[in-house]
Amino acid sequence: MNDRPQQSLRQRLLRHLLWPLLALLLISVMVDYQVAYTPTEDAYDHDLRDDAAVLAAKVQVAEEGVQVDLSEATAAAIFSDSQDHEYIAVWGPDGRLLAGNPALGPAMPKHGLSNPYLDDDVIDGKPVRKAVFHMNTLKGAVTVIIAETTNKRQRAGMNILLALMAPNLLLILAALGLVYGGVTRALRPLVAVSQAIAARDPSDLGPLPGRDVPAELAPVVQAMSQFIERLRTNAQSQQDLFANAAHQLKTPLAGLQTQLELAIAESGESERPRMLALLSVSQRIAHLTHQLLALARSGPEADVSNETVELDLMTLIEEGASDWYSRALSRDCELIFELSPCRVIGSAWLIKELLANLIENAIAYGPEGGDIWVRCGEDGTGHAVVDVMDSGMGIQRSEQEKVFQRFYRSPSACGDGAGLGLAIVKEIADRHRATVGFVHAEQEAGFCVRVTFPQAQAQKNSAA
Amino acid sequence: MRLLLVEDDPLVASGVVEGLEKACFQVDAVTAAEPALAALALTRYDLAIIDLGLPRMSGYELIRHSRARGFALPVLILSAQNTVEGRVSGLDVGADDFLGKPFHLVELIARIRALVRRSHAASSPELVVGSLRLDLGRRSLNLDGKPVELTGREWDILQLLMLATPNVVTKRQLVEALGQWDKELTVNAIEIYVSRLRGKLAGANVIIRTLRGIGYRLDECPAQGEALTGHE
Repeated sequence: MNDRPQQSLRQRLLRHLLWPLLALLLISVMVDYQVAYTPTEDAYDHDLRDDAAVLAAKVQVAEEGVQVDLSEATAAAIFSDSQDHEYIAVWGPDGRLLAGNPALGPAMPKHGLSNPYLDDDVIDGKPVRKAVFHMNTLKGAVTVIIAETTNKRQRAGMNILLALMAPNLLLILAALGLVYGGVTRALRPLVAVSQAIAARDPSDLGPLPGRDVPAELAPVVQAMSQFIERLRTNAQSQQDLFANAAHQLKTPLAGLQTQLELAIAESGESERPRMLALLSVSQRIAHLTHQLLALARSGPEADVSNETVELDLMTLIEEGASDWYSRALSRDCELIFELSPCRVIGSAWLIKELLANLIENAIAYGPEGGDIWVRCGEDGTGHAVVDVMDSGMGIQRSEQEKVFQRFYRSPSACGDGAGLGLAIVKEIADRHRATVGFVHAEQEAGFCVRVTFPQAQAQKNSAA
Repeated sequence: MRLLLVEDDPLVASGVVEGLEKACFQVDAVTAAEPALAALALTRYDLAIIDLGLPRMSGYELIRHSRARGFALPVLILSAQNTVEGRVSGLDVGADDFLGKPFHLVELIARIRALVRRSHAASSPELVVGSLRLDLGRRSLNLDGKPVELTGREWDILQLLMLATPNVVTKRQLVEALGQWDKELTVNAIEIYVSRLRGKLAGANVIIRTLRGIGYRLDECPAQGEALTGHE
């Protein structure tokens, strides 16, 4: 999708350059041809004139009339050409053909031309070049015409053309090559800019770099940067609204939950189930509100750059361990930790949210009374890795792509989550340039979600 | 025990007051920071519960002013703003703990008790959690009024757990705290002490939980009639 506009620009440039270029070269060939051929033709014409003069010299004007001496010698002098056929005609004063071929019709003297003058004609269907010589004798006007076929002229013309072709063809090809190469090179900054844009992180809403941009592209790049900035501001204000709304819900929810807890403590056996149901609903709403807030704060628009620090995942997990352990107790599950130090760069709150959601899923979708493992450490290549594993059935391969969508709930899922947990995990992971994957453990039967973070040093260098 | 509640939302305030009074606390409630400062000056409270989202002066400012005026009582922040910045800023200005909204009454009560317990630990001779009564002077334990024999190590471990509850004591913390006086204490040795301790505490309304890979935690088991357990 990205290189099609490039192609049409190049094609357009090529098209606009190519045809004029070819036309120019064509003209060049024509001019060269003329320049090369004209002397040749002149030389042949000169010979023809000479022959006409020789023939005219053989016209004898006597008392009886005009005669032409066409002896062997004369004939030999005139008809000595291996390539072309010669025709002659001598027309007397009264229009009589004195000698030669009547097909070479009498020609009127033409004003303004030299004598003899040269002309083209056709005899027996063949093109000929003729020389016409008018003589004004004592006995009247005599016209001497000598014509020859154009074979050697054509052959000479062909040779010249062929001789011209090679260099001109080379010129055309070299020009094409230069044009193509030049266009490609000229368009390279365009390609570079488009690649730079394509390589951007989807969460990067900062301005485009303005350096190394050709002058023609500068206004485009600037307009795009401004547009992106407007997008970012819009998205941020929407997120702020979103976050504020979720935040505002928390206080009335706190009031509701506290009142319900008190009501349950006071309620009799008959009312208790209903009150417990109400409390459960209230907690679901609170949980959803919390998740919406987490989503708002983990999206690419949320500005949490000031929260980014170097952290030890092990410390973060230890901080949350007690709360998560108590959550697991509610379903009779035991949370088991296997932790070793591993560094990441990011937001403590967001990473804790990520972990909380993974553990919450393990608690909700693992079997009741089952064990849940939380492991963290550095893998062989310096990446921090977190595994959360439960002993449940996990997520089917067919659904593994979809589960990261917001509000997606597997058809086989029970429980009352809203389907946001993994969406939050994915957003936070993306924000930290971490990957989320599913691992089916070999030794222990169970389902494991693995989050792999980029190396802390590399992240530092790329100024997250 | 006497507590001060600073909360401007009437529903939350009434619920908290009622819940705390049911747990045998005495509660004074105000709805803004200014009357809170006045109350703190007048009465000696064991603990203050402060909401951050107050109308004029914010909860942060209130805490800062209180500390500046020398009110050293423990402060628990109650807030909808459940973020790292919120927590860290709260601790920075001098609060002792942070509970996000919405919350469970049971958890609120447990944390209040823990904060008061810790603040009294230096001055008070006793440490009480549930039916356990630790005499810090005589280094003895009373369970439901009956004395229980503990070894020195067991006593130290129990004291740490009781001081920390409802928080976790990590194995490292235990090893550091106990390994002072003589030979190095291994993690396995602590396991043995804890399991012996569990045996001696059987029948109490507390339980020592093992958080594998993290440490230990002393939990109170809710008696009947108390507010419902927090986590469903």
